[in-house]
Amino acid sequence: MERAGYNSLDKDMGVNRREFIGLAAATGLLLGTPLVWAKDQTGRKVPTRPRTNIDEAMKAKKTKWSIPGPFPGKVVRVRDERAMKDGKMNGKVVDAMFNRGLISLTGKKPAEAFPLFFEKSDVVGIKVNPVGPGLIATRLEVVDAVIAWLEAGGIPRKQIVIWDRFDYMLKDAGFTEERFPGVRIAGLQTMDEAAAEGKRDDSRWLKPDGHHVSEENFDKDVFYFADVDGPKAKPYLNQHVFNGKYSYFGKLLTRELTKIINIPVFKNTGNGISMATKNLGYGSICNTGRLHKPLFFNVCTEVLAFPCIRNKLVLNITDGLRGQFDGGPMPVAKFVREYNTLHMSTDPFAVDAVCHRELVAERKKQGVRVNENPVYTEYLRYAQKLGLGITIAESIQYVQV
Amino acid sequence: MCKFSFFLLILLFALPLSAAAVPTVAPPPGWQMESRNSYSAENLYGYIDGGAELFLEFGFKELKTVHLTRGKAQLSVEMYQMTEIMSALGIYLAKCSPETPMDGVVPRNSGDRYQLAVVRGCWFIFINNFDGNRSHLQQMRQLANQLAAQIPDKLMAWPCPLDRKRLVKGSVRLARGPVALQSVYTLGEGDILQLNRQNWAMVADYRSKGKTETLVLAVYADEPFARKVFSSLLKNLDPYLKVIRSNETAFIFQDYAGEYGIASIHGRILDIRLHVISVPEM
Repeated sequence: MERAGYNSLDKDMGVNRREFIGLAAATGLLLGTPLVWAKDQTGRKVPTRPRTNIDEAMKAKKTKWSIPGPFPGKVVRVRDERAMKDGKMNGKVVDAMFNRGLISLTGKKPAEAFPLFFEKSDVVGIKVNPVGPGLIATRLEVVDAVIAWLEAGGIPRKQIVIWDRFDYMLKDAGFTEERFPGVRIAGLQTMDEAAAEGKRDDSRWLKPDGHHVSEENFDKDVFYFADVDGPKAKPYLNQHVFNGKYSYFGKLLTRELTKIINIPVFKNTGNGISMATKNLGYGSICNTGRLHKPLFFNVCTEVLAFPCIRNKLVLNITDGLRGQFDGGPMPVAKFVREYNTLHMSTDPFAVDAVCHRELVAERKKQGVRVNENPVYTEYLRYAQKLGLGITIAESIQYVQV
Repeated sequence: MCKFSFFLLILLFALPLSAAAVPTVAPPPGWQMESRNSYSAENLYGYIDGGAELFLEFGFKELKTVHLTRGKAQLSVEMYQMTEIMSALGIYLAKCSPETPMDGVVPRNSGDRYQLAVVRGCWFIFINNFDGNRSHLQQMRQLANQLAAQIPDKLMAWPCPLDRKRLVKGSVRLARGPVALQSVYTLGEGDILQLNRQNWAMVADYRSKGKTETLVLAVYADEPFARKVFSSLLKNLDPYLKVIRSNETAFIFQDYAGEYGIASIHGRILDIRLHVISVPEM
């Protein structure tokens, strides 16, 4: 790389460096108020990682159902171009894709595979991702396929719960009791958007005693502790139910569900992915806003280490019928396209490892800027160290059908 | 990279926040206003959990959302009021590059049948057509033009000293903190370039010897502070980057992919070049 001409540039453009800087400073443009910076910025604070209670989670005993499940490190990718075309879904094709994936993953027919994951008494929670309804939320047809398999295996609809953290998001994404008759639809919490915006009083989310109406939905005996406080502001409390250093798990997970099937979508979040482990890591607990900055992906590993997930999560199906390759986690249509894939695994970290690599490869193909620093996959290697999954490429069994 | 330097394009005059009027959405004929909401910096996470930090970093004031319906058809408008013009442009470039402008839309825009993004003044606007119905494209255009017409167009292009021939089209980005910078490259933990939501850095890809390299330029208040940032960067460089050589004004490193980078200080400007194939000269 040549570096000549640094101080004698710009001749072609008729602006030299001195002129440029002078003009920039004179207009205050871009540079803000230099003296203020100089006074305020006397040194850089290097962030430290807050202490958490991961050690306590790891003390809990594993069971025969614990992740990474009966097929650690095995990931099956199913693709069928007919599943979604011009935005229209073909439920039969999706159902067939699911069954093909299941056969490939387990080596058994779906009915025979059923006992690998369930007993008939199980209460099965299907965790969906309803963010980005209509564009990049979990497709209802994938959930249909899963429910059909559960019913065929002997689990009645009344023992099936479609759930997410926020009740209103489920509705927006089409997860209603009308659409899924007999199946329970459950949000861990509510949130009053109008109150958060100051357009309505707080009575719909805040009880007279000062507690959030959804407090009782969370289990104060089971929590993810991180030594960082949630903001005290009311809008935060409205959204996050609690705002201290504790993120409680939903009682749905700790007391009702006996098994979990995880159906995230295929999308990015910055340089990383927001798929299997993030769907549960940030979807199972309250008071998460405080965690993004200091812990972010580590939450995806550590929250899944708690027994109420670790010992219940039996199957992950990453819904890539549409994929979002940049701009995430918020839905950005420009980067969403029909992708017509399902990734299936009992190992949430293996499926995320595979999907991360696949997303990076797709981003490169599409000319999307990619930062491949290994820091964005450290949480996966961390999970392997904790024995929660297999994430090293050489150890993953990747099957395409 | 020959005679390639400094500021790429798009440096703009800051527009005082008070000068930015709030645009009003008038539903296109036949469409009904179903709901309107607004979000402050405090509860933006409620709308884009996990995605708010980038807006806050660039300088976010308020989000106004409007939901329109016509029968079962739906359109939604998200209007992000940013604190400065540069803030709005920064978020637009982060979200929309490379741009794909839509015919018939007057303001700077990028979009398709699902979503149209517009930037003007301090406003970054999304118009969402979640089912992608092509028959709503005209309404999306109308809304974009209608809103833009209410926003003063104060953008001013800055003279560009760059050898434009080498610039990769659509690669220019802005950064005002670690979140935006992380989409480009990881130089270290936290706000390693000490942009502190005040200082700006610009990023662009350029072609050099058949390969695409990346330039990051951060501008500081004065040379002593820039030197302090340079020293801190060297001291706290990301552990996946290995320093090969260094002196008082520059250091060369090799990254996890075997590519090279060089950081050098020039007055109050920190110049960082990334994805360099061969060992650069200091």
